[in-house]
Amino acid sequence: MKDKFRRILVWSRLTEKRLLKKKSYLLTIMLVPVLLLGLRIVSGEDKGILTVGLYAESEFAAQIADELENAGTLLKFVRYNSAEDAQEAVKNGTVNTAWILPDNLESKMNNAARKGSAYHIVTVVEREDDISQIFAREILCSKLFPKYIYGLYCEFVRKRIDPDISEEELFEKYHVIEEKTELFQAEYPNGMISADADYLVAPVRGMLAVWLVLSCFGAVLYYKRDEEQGVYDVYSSQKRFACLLGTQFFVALNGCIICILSCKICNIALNLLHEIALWGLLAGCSICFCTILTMILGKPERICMVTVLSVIMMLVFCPVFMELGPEWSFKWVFPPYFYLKALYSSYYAGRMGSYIAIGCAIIFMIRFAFKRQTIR
Amino acid sequence: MIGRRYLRLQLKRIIRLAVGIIPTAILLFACLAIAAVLYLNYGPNADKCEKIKIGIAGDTQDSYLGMGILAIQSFDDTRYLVDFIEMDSSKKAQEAFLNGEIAGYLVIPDGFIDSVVYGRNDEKITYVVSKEQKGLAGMLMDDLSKIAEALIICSQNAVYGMQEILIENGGEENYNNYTNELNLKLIDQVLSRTQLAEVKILGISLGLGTMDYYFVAVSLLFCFLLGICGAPFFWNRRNDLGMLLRQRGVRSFSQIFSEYIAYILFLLIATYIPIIVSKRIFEIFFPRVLTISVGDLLPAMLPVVLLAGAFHFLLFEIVQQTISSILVQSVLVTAMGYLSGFMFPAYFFPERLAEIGRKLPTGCALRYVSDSVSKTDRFAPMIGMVCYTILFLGMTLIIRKRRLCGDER
Repeated sequence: MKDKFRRILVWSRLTEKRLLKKKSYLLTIMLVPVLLLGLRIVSGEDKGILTVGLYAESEFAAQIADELENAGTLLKFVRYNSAEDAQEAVKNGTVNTAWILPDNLESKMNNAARKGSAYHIVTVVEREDDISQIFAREILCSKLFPKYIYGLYCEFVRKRIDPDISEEELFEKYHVIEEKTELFQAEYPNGMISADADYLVAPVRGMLAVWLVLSCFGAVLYYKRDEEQGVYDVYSSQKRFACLLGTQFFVALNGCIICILSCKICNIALNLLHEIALWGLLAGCSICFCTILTMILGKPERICMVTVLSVIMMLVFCPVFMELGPEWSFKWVFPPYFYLKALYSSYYAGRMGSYIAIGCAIIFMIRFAFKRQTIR
Repeated sequence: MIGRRYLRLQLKRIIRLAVGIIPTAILLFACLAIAAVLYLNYGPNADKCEKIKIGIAGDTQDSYLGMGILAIQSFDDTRYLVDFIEMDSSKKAQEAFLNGEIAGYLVIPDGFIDSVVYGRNDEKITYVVSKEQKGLAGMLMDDLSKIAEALIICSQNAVYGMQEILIENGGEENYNNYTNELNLKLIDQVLSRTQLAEVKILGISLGLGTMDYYFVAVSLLFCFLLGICGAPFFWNRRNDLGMLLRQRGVRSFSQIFSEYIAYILFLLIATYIPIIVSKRIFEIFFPRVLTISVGDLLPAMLPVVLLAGAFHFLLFEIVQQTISSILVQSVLVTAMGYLSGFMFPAYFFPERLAEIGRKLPTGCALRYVSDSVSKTDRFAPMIGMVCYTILFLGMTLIIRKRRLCGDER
């Protein structure tokens, strides 16, 4: 028993040494944190989910445009000198939407306040309407609306209370409550999420999870090629299978270290123990996933194709960029799905444990079935 | 003569590889087409639009607040953006949040409405969101809360300002009437606030619509990732065969040319067939979703296939280890695709990053195909693609030559 354990240790050391001796492998895995570091550095620059072309020439309009630009929203603004230029920019796709604040914006607002109804005071030009455009319009309206409400208030007071009241008094009485009063406060689940995560960096964890699965596929192909070249010819079928699992284990282990390091670099890391547990579980799930597919598919060509298939399917169906549709059971096949959910809930961490248990049972059954077939 | 035989041999090898791979490739694109169909049914642009689901927990029994939520859900324009779901308690809201049923939740403290009505503003609504995997929902919540704050505070200022002036002018008897009148006016204006803007929709005359854009992006991602499928073609190359061919007069250039021709044939088949199949699936189920035609897309994909082939060639020439070649392909293609706008549109990125993305091979390919399909000027990206293809093949040739010469020595 002791001898067997020693031999396993020697084999493990040799496998890891063989992997790490390859400069190209080391460079490839180190490429991931380096690329992410670059992404993190540049992602801090000015950006937005929509680019808005702004035309605001008059003083009043320019004041609103300044407020919009300085509000720190998810929108990015580009100023245009004419309404036609802004509209043209929407047409040719330079900007997503154009907001045209007319030169007579102030008088239009005053008229609207007098009438008590604000209708089509500014023009928004879009190529197609969607949820992000609705959101952007809300931001525009939130800047225009207080100005309009102020006019409405002045009109109301003059009409109902004191027709001769001065502008100064109206202004003074209006600003009872500071505009910067906060009525909302953000809270993040305990210790789980870094508050300054950025939307460009947010999908990184999901992409790393997909990359870890892909590393396991890479390990399988590495093993298959070694097998083709006769590296494992001296081993029995059982030992070869152990080598397949062992190769995946070491590649996944290296991958986990790189992933934790990358999360740290991107400032999305949870506490270290939490990270180690979750990446470890993902590695286990990935090994099961890849081993089952390898046992079913056999040939490296087919495994290659399924690798591409899996990568795209995982990017689409797992919540890497967005959650697509409700929780269908076929999504459970992909290990990153549980992993990304487990960040929020220990329930899903439990399901990752079940995934590994079921995966091991399936592997055992497939091996058992093949063994019986061979005996017959 | 030997050169031609080598070319024939490479073609045979690649056809054998393609026969095993093409059915899986078709299956892949069928799956992607299904994913797109799901996106259309459940994604943010769907008619039965899946909005951002936000739970509300806390003192919603308050009659004003209950009415307010009902009004928002019935009349306010945010009903197209956010779905407010009332929760029995903050614990239940937290459970739903952790299970991914809602993107975040609001906890309304006891006495919040009183605090707003009397202008104390000392109670705060807490919104719980995560800024990570839930994507943009959390960040949208930050902006939405600022919008709500702006609306509440300007309304409060109007009402309190009016009340103060009224009291100063000795009109206490009208206090309730005027307060109600102004409040109703304000509620009416808040609910119809988006009418401040006149929306003109131009339609997509130039450039691509969202679905067309993503169809092109996924086709390109697939084409670039096909390098992983082509890996077995490159693994079995042997240096001693290359040297033998060199000694028999087949130079490195002829070797690479023969292999490249064969590989391009494989890429063309493996890219074109799945695109045709998935486009057909779309035409059957959603005839008006994709406006691009296969007739425009396939010719536009030809230079992309040549570029992707050259890119794969270079990577496999540099990295010959099995595992490294797979990992490097995936890491580089995913990173380049991400920056070039395959996953998020390029305008999501800071200008410098978007510029880098546009200049990468994947960025040139995306711009070229988009411009070709939407029939706009495609000269600049075309030049970029030609330069990259020549550069990659040239580098492959140099590396091959050095390796064969080195081994001979």
